[in-house]
Amino acid sequence: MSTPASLRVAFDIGGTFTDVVIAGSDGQLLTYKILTLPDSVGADVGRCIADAERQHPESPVASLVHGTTIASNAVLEEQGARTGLITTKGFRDELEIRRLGRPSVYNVFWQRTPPLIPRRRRLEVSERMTVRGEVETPLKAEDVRQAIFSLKRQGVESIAVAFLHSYVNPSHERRAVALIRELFPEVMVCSSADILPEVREYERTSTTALNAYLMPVVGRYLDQVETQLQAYPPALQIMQSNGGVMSAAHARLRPVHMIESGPAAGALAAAGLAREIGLAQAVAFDMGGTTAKGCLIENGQPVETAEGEVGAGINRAGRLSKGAGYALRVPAYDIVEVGAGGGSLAWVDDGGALRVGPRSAGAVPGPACYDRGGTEPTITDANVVLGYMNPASIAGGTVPIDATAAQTAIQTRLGARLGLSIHEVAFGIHQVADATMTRAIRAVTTERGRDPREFTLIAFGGSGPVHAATLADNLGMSRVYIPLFPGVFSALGLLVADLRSDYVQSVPQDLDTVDPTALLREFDALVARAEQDTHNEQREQAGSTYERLIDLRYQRQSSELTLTVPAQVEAADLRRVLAESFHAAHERTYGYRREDDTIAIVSVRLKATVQTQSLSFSELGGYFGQSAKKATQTDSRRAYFGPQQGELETRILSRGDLLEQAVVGPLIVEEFDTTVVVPPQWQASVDTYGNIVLSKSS
Amino acid sequence: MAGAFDPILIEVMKNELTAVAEEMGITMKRTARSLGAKEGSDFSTALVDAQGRLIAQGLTIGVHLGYIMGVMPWVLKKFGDDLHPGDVIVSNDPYGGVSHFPDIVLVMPIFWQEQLVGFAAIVEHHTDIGGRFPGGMGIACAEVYEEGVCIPGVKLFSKGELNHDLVDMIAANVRAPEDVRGDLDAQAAACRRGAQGVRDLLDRHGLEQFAACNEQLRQYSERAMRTCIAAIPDGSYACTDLFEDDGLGGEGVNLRLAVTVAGESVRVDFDGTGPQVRSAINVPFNLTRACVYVAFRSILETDAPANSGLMAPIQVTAPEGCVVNPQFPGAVGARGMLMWRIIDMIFAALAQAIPDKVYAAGEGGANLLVYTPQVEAGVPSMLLDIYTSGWGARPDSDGVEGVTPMAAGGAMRSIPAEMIERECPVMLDGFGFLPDTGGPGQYRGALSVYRKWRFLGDGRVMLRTCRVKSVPYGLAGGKDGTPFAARLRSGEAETQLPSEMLIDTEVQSGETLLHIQPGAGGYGDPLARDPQLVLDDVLDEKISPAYAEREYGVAIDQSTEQVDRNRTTQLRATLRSELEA
Repeated sequence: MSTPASLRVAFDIGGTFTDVVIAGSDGQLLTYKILTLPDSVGADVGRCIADAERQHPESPVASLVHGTTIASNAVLEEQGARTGLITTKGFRDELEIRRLGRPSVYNVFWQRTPPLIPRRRRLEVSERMTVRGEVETPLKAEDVRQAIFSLKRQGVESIAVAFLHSYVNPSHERRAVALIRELFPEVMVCSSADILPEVREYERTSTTALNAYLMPVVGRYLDQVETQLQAYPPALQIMQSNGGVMSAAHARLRPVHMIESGPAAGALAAAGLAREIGLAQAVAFDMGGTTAKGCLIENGQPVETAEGEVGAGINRAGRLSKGAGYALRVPAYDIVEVGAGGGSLAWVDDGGALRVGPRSAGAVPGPACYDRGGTEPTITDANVVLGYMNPASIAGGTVPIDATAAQTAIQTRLGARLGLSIHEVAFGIHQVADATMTRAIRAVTTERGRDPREFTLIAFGGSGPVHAATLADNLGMSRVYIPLFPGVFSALGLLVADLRSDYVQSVPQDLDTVDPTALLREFDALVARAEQDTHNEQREQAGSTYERLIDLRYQRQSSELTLTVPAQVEAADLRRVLAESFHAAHERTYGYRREDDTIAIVSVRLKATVQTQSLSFSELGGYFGQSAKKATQTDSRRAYFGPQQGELETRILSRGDLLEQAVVGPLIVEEFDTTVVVPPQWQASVDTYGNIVLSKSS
Repeated sequence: MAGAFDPILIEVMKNELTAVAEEMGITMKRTARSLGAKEGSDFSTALVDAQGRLIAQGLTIGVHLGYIMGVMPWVLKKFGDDLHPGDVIVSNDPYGGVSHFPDIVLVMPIFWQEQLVGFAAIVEHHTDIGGRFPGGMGIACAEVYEEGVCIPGVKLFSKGELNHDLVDMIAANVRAPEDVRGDLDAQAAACRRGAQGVRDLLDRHGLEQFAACNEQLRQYSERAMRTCIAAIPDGSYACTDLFEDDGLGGEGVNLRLAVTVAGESVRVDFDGTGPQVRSAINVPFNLTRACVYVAFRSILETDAPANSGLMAPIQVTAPEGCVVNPQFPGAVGARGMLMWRIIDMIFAALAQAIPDKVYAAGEGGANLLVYTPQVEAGVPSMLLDIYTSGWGARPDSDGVEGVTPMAAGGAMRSIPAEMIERECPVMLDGFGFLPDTGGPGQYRGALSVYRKWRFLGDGRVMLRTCRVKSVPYGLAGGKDGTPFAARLRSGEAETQLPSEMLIDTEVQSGETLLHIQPGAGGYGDPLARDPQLVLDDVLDEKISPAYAEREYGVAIDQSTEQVDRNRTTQLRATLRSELEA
């Protein structure tokens, strides 16, 4: 049987480049790398689609999937909306006190990040629910009106509403939201019972405040992208922090789920590759134009965390020791990010030391060598000066490189000041960048108690393969995989992501007294909600799979274990089956069980998944093997490998050249979307999946 | 390879050990039953080597480490050749290395290839431990016999078998038996997790490499601490204080300590400190020592791992029978307030030597409420609620507001209102900043954080405040902070509660209790504060316009919400001449 021809479009926006991957139904991939121009992302992607349509006539666009850093950048750069909070009387400072938390550092000079919403815009109203959801103090509408007027006067664009115990009874929050819509219709609003209907007021309020802070920014952005792509009928889908995708309509209401949108796609792609080639333990290393990211992959899955914090800089170990940033209670991959990318600026600090990042030249003006107006030296300029990157052009000749501009930037801005030769400075920039990125990898390996030497590095992103081998050297890692299409690898992740929606309903009852039929009906209600959402988003019902989950704990514990409810279980057996599997899970996880203790139900969950047409890395490899071209002529240039090795004549090859046998460094592999540097003591080969495999010569 | 320095392996081992100790903490938090442990994280985990020396810590309340170190010699002495796989030892004996009865330590020996290789240890502050006062922290006890159940270092598990009789015995003597039983389970689970983590480590690295790394890490931490001490000018820096509440209605207790720095070592002696008292404020000596370590850890500028090397350059002495080195059977249940004061005093002493590296005084230590409602027997609903306020101002910035003190480590958290209300007949009516509090300065001390409860049943309340008559000190011209207050409201009537560190009072259903913690001290001249910062505080309603004029000489134009420059210049000139007059 043959599926009708179609195109699946994925685009991943980074600080410097937008990566576009378009998959034809014949398995062919078209890849594009375009400069990120914030106001024309959609239009620029549209041009790539138009090109693909020319190559694949009669193939309509079947899906549009998007990964973006818009949300995380807004938080990190404090560029979110001016936001207000309306909360229960007595609790306006919850958002600033953050449960008194701070990271586990002993430092008198420690600074906490300022609250996203300052105290003047955190306003209290008279209202109170009891823990059982009974109205103890009715909502005083006049207080809400006053708060709305104050926030209006202060010019807010967005309002978060978070009241105590709203996860049990959301009626006060709903009433406040209705008043806001009535009196201040132009403002955006979200309520905590909608965003995170879970107990614990600080975590729920913080997550809701982040959501409100992001709604206007993300909304404007998505409007623009959708308008520019309106020629293509499929609904835009957005990558979530947990590796699933959601509709753009959903993303507008819940931008808090897309904080790690871009990085998650890369981690998902790396995990898919690791599974297929049988790597149990790997580190995904993604270095783009602005930042570098590390994510641990164990047993073929990116490691997840639900206890995230955003805006705190490097998330060091201390998983229970938060308080530096903003609590964010949504499922996400555990990704560590540092400010080192190809566009990161190199500079000399007051003490005369060479520093790199975190400021970036971005797409505009970009590195000096791009000749787009940039004059300050960047990591990319250093890599050009060192001979690692092609001194004439990159991206298959589409981006011209001005090597002289790179030299001038480094020489005049840094060389003179540091009193070093141009090679010494450029190599210094390369090393300082490596050291910064080493910290990111350490944060997900050694700081999680993992020895990086037992892991394989999967390096991608436009600049990742340039730095992969020296970074691996720093960490004692002896094996590096550079996948096919490394420069747009994150965008590949968007093509393998399933559509995922999670639904939760609080069910505060004891397992041995709950009515099992009623419990099963709770799941049916969640399925109905999922189907309603599917209907609202005008998607096909077919292909949806539902996983029923239940959160259980021993009475008076605070943390739950999430168990899967077997699909076939009868109501009559339900309680017994769940009790048995909970005792067993508790014993497996914590080493003991207490069969006499009451088991409490916390909530029921539904994970709705629509599987996407998957992408096989081995097929990609096969496709590559057949079509691989060798370099037409053997080329070489001089590249500098540090004071001991000096400048060496270095061969330039293509990936296809490595198919037959391993080649010993020094060596440079030039590709359309990246450059792979193989230093002396390393060798490179290509496996059956088309990956370049770097290994340290012993 | 043993003994050879491998910088990557050292780094990996350091973080692996910390990760194991942290896994213990996660196990504890996820399986514990009491609010204090599962929400407040009032517990600490550690790994110890076969000789009883600390090699790693996980999640910690700074001073807790003192008990783990304190209890190890007792464990080794009593059970030296009677330790077996699956054993778990339990102790809460203040005169056996621990602290006060509510703090229960579990220690599990770790065996690998039939050899004793170390111990996994965890201490937790339990909801109750019996005795005269709910929570086990009453001030009016003279001897430990009044303070609850003493568990003198016995086996909770023998070769994996739980001693049910012992648990029943403990449970029968406490007011929150379900909390205590459940938390003991959780503590044991955490120890087993720690032991397994260490065995996994040994499977990978072998004993020789493990021991060599630990030795290297110990030396590394010792070097770091020695470097830190060497940067303090040599000399002796004394601090005296009158501890305002001796629990007996007396004049208080004289405290004195001297920090003597000589090269890379430091000695802290408590000569001149008053004798132990016949109330429960006495601080067991191993806890006194822990306070000193924690203070020095706070000024250490590197993140060297917390192990026995860190403590090696620090010597602590106190006369026997003084209030910080009491003799059996002196009561110690209410040792918390004096413990925190010791830490403040060390900072005050160090401020003379390194004024640019310390901050003004914070609220004075963790404060707490114990509420014991009268309910049917067997319903666990006691509340142990621990919280703090904020930091004193620093040489370069305001004090952090609404945060745990440095010495509490990074683990402690306030308990969410929504969790308290699930489990106890209480409503939390507020938790936030009180405007116009804290010490003014070029950098402002943290505002007071207040907490307010409404009781839904008749019962008894114990309220602890670590500073009641004294106030947190300011530094370098910054003003002192602001005092504590506690008010009980019954209908329209409001009662100011007495200035006692441990208030013990009956409460009726429907009454509300407001606890205002001390506001922190300021740093530097208030008249030198950037008027823009004053404006921000006014707009944020952290200080009132009148207070801004009075304390900072900054006038705000209410209509434009800007600083009135002219009036500010005048006000400041006037205030300055008043000061000089």
